[in-house]
Amino acid sequence: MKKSISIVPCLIGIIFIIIPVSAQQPTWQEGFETYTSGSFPSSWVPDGNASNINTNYVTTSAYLNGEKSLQLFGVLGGCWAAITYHELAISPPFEIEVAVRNGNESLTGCNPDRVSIHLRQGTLWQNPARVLINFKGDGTITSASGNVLQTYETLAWYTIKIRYERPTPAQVEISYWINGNYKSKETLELVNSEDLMTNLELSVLEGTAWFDDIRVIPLQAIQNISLSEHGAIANAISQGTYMGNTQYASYAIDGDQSSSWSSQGDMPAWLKVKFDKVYEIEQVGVWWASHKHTFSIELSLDGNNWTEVVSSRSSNNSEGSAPVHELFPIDLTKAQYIKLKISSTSAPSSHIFQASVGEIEAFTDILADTVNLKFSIAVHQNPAATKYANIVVAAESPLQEAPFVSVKSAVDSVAVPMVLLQNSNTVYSGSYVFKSSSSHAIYSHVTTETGASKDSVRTVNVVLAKPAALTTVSSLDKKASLVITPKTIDKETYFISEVTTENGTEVYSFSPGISFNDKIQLEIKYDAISYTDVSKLFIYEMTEEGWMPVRSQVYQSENKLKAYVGTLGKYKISSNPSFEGYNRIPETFALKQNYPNPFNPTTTLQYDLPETDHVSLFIYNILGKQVATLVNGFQLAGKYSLTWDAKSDLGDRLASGIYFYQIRTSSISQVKKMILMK
Amino acid sequence: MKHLISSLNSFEGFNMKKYFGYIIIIWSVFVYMGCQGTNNPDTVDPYTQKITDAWGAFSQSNYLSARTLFIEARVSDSTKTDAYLGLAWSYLKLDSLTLSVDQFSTALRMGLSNADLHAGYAFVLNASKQYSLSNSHAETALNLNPTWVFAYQTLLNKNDLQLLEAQNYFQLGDFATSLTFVKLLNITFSVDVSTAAGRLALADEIERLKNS
Repeated sequence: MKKSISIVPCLIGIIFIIIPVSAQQPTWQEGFETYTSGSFPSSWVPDGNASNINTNYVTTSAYLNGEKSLQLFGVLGGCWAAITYHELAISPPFEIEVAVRNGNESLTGCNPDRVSIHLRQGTLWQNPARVLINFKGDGTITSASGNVLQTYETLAWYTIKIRYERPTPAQVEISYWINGNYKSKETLELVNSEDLMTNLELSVLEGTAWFDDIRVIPLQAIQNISLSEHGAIANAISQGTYMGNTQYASYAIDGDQSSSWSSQGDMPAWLKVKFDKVYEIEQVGVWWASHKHTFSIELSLDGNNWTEVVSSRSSNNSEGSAPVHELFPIDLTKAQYIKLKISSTSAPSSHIFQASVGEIEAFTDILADTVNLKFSIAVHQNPAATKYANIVVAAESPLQEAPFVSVKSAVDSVAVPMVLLQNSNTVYSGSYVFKSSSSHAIYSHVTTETGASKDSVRTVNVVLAKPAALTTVSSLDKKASLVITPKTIDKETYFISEVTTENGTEVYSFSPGISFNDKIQLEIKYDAISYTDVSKLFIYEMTEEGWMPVRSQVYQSENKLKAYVGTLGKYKISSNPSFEGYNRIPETFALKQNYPNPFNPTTTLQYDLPETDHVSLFIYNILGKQVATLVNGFQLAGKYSLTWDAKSDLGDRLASGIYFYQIRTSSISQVKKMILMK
Repeated sequence: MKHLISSLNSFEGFNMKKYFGYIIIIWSVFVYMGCQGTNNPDTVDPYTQKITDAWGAFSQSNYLSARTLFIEARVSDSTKTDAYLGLAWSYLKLDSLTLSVDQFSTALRMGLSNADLHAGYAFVLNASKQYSLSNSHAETALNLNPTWVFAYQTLLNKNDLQLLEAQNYFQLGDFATSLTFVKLLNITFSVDVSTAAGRLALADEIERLKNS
């Protein structure tokens, strides 16, 4: 018997499932993290000077979060802006968030302004557009209508939030927040082709600017959390009763504007709501019922200390008119309580209900948790048996459920069951056993209590080193490596390497941080075009005192640095401009003529050693007798300079005359003459 | 033969009787030395020899050989605890956690109680997710020898035990005590573990910790 399937109910079912899920996500977001540095992001369409890849690309030189941002450059002194577009893929109402950092170049072109953000029809700068915000050359940020919102500094990040609404078919409402502070709301007439503007445009009219952390959010994501269905609880100065029906405080948070709370004759009066947890509130609102009131609104984190977010004003209804809605965008404020304070009423004094409110509202961006959520994936290896590990996921805020963690290696891909640790609602742990030398991708998916989710992947290279064997432990980008010599370890050890970026610089982490028999050779390759003077490059090690240089050798022909380390940790390459020495390893051996020469009584002897070797440097008198030993032992490759004070090994001052200094390595012997003249 | 002896006797300056005398003396010396060797009171008994060889193999990370030799030692004398201890460590290195736990607990039941035993037991119990018991043995090991270094793998020492305890307490949700052990290894590390951010930082620090 065949089972028949009705397509239409099936599709409806699918849509029914999809809609609530997608409403919990930003329509799209962009941090430019997935693109290669130096490339133009493939999801964005370049226009104008943005087509010039030499000045417009994903960069690690500046960013607000993560490790990358998009850099655009408008030609200086010209009229050739850098522009890029991304499809909005959303209908109003929505919010756009963009982090912007402006360069500090002098502007002299035909459009001496910096960043400008628009909605644009199509992907041509000549097409109609709606200006959303401008960073003017005079240091002000202006709105769609040209009003100054505030001033700005160059080379500083600003987080811009723009709410775009269409209250009527012929009107646009645009609200602004800058760095979380509410600025203004403008009601504007439509511009030409407003309905056809389906692209977000980022442009830099002149100079450099950086963009990061872009989010386009449906306004459904802005939710009223002052609802009993979200766990909110209301109380009030009093609850009026009429004809046996109590006008409960909870009626002001039931989502029904027609049911209202009323005070039992009290004036002034107050209504207070406690949310289920702390939220970042960006807008509050009231549905008025029956009477016109003078009121203010306060928020609080603890229910004791209150911040006024809407100062005393009159409601916009009139006596007897209901329900009437009022919304108040506010500066982003963390709170768990909201209080509506009513100081006067239009109700006649004889009226039993002095205060009357249909709904009290507090709105938050439930997706903001996704952006703000910080969590870490740590690997705790057993010190004696490094193949056994616990994978720890620690978040900065509670999660809805245990994170999903999986580890993919060359051998297999396994899910790691995670368990909430005792005494914590933010730390989970699961056990994992390393099985192979290969890259391991530790993937984690976490979901916040508000339902927003975030993914993270930590990719590490795992190498099993065995005693009495030569093993190289490389980072996944092959730029850094450890050489584990047969002497280094006396037990099988799983080494882990990882590459991360801090402030645009690659940081290489190696573990486990155990002691080793021998110093370990660490090599890190550098980008030759990034450094003008490689002789001052060092490998830096992260210590309790911060980043500290370790003795390093620069091999310029191979674009790499070498150092020897006793324990493992975090390393990076950096230049040390104050270093007066010379780290670059010479390519050929050289014994240089001493200076001064003749000398009395001190002279300087220099030599270049291209490879680590045993070195002896002796002084002989004219009779061929060895009188002084300056060097006799193993030396690392490098440039050496030492001073001789014309004293013998016995400490005697030598007589004037001709002396010879001879250097010997395992393969080279050279002699030069010098004259001591008193 | 007679002809040969007479020839030898006739050899200039050679006395045949004296020649045989030398042979007998030399033979007697060899016999005496051989007998002395057999009865040498310094000779190592088979059990001790096996144990020495087994730890030698262990020190060179040849855990399979070590395991075999420790088993042979145990067979030769099952009343001595060294074989159980060595076998327990060998099983730990060979990733046979259950067998390792069995051997450590047997050695413990037989009355052995030294820092090597409790330290090894602590490590294997951590790998077996028995964090509380692991801490107990780590503590005992450090009480018995506050400067413990594992003689057969000298890179393993008291710092590893302290790091292990930090990991164990973290897994048990006792973040404050975990922090105490972390601070033994990095005195400058300081976080408020009553906060989620502090616990996150502690998790990262345990991974990062150096054991200098």
